[in-house]
Amino acid sequence: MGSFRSIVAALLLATLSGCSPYGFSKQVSDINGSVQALNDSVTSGHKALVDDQTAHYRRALIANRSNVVMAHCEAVLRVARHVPTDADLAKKDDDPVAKPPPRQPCDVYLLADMNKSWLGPPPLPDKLTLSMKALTDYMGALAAVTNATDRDNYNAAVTKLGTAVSGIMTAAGGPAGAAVGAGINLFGWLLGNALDIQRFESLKAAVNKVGTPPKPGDGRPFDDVVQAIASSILALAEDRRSALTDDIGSLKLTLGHGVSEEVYRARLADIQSMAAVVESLNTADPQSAANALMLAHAKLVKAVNEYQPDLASLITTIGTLKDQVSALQTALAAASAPASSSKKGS
Amino acid sequence: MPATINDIATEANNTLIELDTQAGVTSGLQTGGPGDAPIIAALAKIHAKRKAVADEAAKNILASADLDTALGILTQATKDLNTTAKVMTTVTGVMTNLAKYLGYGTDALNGLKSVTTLAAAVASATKPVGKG
Repeated sequence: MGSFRSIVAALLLATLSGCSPYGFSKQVSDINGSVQALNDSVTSGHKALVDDQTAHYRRALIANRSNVVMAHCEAVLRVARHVPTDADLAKKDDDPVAKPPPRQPCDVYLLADMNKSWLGPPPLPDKLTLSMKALTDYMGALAAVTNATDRDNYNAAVTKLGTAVSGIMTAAGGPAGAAVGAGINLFGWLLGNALDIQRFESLKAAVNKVGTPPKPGDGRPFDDVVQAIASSILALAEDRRSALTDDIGSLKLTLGHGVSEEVYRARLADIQSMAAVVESLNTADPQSAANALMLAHAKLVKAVNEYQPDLASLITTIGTLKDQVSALQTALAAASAPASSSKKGS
Repeated sequence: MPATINDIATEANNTLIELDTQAGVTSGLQTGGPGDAPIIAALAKIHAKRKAVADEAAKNILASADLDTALGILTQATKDLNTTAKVMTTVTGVMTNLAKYLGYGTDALNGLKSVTTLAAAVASATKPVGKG
């Protein structure tokens, strides 16, 4: 009886001292949202870069009134019939799937480009995709361990079990159905607190491990993965910025008295569309979003290690993070060409 | 000693800032009109350098051994977190199922009880009056 009392006392003390993972639920969920948005900006930024290069190619064709050839329109994807085998069934869902090689879409090209298999930017590097997956999976796991709904479901299950046990005892003619039900609820409460503590300890261990350099002089693992993604986004943004600024420069040289007002207006509109994207790329540095994300995680590590965590400071950092990731996402996904750009500028 | 991810990112950032300054100065030389062609060409060269610096830094960071280590740690932490998170959901599932089966048991016992009560009532009603 003495040891039972001490277990209850220890659990009560642990509960009162704030060892609950759910206090971080909202913050982790918000950081998770920003990481998802960062992830989206890589894919949407890459797509926008492909679109930029297509628009750039078209502008060059129009400016030079080039002779073109139709190419890659006969490159049909033919897949052979494959009956599933035991080996297929043994494959795990996360086994890497062979990706088809990049291909240039059916379109008109310069004769010199006809046999090139790929003109646009290369697909995203596998290591970048792996880094984005590792980061989003980690944030998803933090969200899972701090998910307060799990605790609500657990509480509901304990209540149901207590009621069911009490009911069967009464039906069996047992004298103490209500007492047994209350006992189950107490057991459920104890087990629930033990599980909460296990979750909190797991949260604490994970964020500390990911937020601490493996050896002196190294970076924090979390920061290194975020930097790898940020540097790739920066390269993507730089690719877009260079291509667009070069196009603005070339098109600007054609503006003057020598062109009709209609052509001047069309080219100016084209320039303004590109300039708007360059402006948003100039003012949304991926490094700002990366810095805010690293700071948010460092503050999360600090908060879980503290007796009385400073959640207000963490919330402010997360707010900044959200704004910066959102600006970056908008800048990277912005279309640089007006809908009718391919038809004007001749 | 190979450069850390932080070293690579910092060096690239410093070079990009220098190139931004060069681009700003070059852009300021424009006067308007077709005479700006050499300036636009010079700017294009700076843009190409800027793009090359950013691409090279991203490539080197993705290829660094530090990133492999970091990804390993992140993946292991993710597995540990998911394992812990699953314990509560599994316990909840077991309890929910147990409550369901006990509910069936209660229904069965109550049913049995009703049958017994009914049988007793039938037996009592069919008992001949005044006999025994």
